[in-house]
Amino acid sequence: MTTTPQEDAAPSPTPSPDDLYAALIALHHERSVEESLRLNARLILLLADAVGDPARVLEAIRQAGEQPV
Amino acid sequence: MLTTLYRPSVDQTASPPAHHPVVVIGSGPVGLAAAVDLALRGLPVVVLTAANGYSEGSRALCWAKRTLEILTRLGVGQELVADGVTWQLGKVFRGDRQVYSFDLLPEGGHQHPAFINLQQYAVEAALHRQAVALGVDIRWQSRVSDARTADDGVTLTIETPDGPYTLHAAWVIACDGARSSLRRLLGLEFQGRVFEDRFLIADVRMDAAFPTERWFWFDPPFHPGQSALLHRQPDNVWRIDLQLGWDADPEVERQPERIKPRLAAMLGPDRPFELVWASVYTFQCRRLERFRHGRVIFAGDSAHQVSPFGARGANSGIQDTDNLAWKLAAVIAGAPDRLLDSYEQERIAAADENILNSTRSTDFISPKGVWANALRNAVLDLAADHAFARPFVNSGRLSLPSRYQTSPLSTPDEGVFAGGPPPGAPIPDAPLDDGAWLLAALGSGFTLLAFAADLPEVQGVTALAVAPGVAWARFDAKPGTAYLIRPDGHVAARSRTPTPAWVAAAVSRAMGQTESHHP
Repeated sequence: MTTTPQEDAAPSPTPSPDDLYAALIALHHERSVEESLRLNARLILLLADAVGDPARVLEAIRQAGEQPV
Repeated sequence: MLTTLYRPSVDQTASPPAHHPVVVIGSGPVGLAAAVDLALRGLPVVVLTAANGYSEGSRALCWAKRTLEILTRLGVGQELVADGVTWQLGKVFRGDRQVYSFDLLPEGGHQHPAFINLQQYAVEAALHRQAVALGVDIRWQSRVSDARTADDGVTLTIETPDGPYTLHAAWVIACDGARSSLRRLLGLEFQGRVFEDRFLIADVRMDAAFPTERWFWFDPPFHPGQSALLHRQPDNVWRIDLQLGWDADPEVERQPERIKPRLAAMLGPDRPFELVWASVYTFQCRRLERFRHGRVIFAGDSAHQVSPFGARGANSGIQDTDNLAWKLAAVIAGAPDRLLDSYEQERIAAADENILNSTRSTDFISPKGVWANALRNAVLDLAADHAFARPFVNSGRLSLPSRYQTSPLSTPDEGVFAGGPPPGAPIPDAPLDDGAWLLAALGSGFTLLAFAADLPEVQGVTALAVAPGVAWARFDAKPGTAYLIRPDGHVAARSRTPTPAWVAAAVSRAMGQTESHHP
């Protein structure tokens, strides 16, 4: 398939929260708990890099641990 | 060993017991470095050691730049660098693929390399020769079996092949290692964290063309599921560390018939090798709560123990003695006793830094629990293709000197500094315009580095005018800048507007003569 520059530049539709949720479920489809842990670990590292600010990541870690589990 | 190094001492028949200003216990690199440093400062030193010779096997192999700088000050660094194998690059593999590399000294203009590899016994031998040349009284096969402490010193009982004797020491430096007798005799606790893992360490003689770099593998094809480390030593000997896991039986794993197939798997079927020395070890990270107990001062492994990843054991021990020797010499010469308390403050902070770093390395190399394992493996999964993930790879954070950030001996900056070593930090080396090196040009006491600063002589301080060059950049110098350097090469104070009164006040504080608060 060939695309024109105009089509490349066209904004893709913003994924909805339901889209994200479904993608996070799909990532772990038919994975063992151990595999899921590893995939999540990769995801956390990639997201931490995307955030770009270690202080914000530390704050998110704090918030994640705040509530009892 | 067939020969005995023991020689009777006149102290053995002395009545009343002989008195010595300083007794060092232990003849490892730390004890001998302490003895040489104190002897260079004019003190008569007795070394008591249960050993009958140098240590066996390569043991402490990797000597860091800062340690080499200290050893050069002690008069043996240059020969050790010549005898050792110089390296600065580390590579980390996952399986057979490189995922990370590091360069420990990317800039030039330093007299000493980032690291040399040299067997511990070679360092002991050089320090021993130097100690003997300086008149240090080294007593082999002399095990301390009792220590009675008092306000003015310690009475030691020493077991020898000719039976026991006692002597009195005004000061005792306990460098008697991880299983310190002095620590036990004083009833001191030595608590910390035990790591549930075992490692095989082997010295192997072979012809191999591997580069002189530190190579570390996670999950290598030749040793699946575990880690491996390869280091070059002098004389075609190589150090190999293989992770075995907590369930490995150390007695079984110590057998050559068990070790050789493991090494053959790593080195390949066509490479003949000779197993020179091997050991199976586990490790702990722990330290004494206090390093100073009146007239007994602990240094090296007797005071603190770390995991081997990062070469922070012997290096930090020699850095202990670098910190201690000038202070003890000063206190014996009349400086306030609290100067020695700063040894403990500075070196406990350094020990905590080393323990933190080596604990983190161990948690990466030997992850405990399913999540720690998943996170570690995820880092390695990503590191090959994602640059951001590589700095997470932790195969050991290699020894760097502590910067004594909260030292009571430091004077706060006068003026604004955007770079250069802050008070407490060790100064960087730099080439001087006459072909000499900055660190080698320091005096044995305090040195004032003057960067186009015109200062009158201050008594007891060596003035060193630094001509424009590399050093100016490394010290963030401007015309008029001055740094006051302690006898151990750490910064005591720095100023953009130095005056003789500023120098005198900073020396006074760094000698413990001023009550001071943390800067």
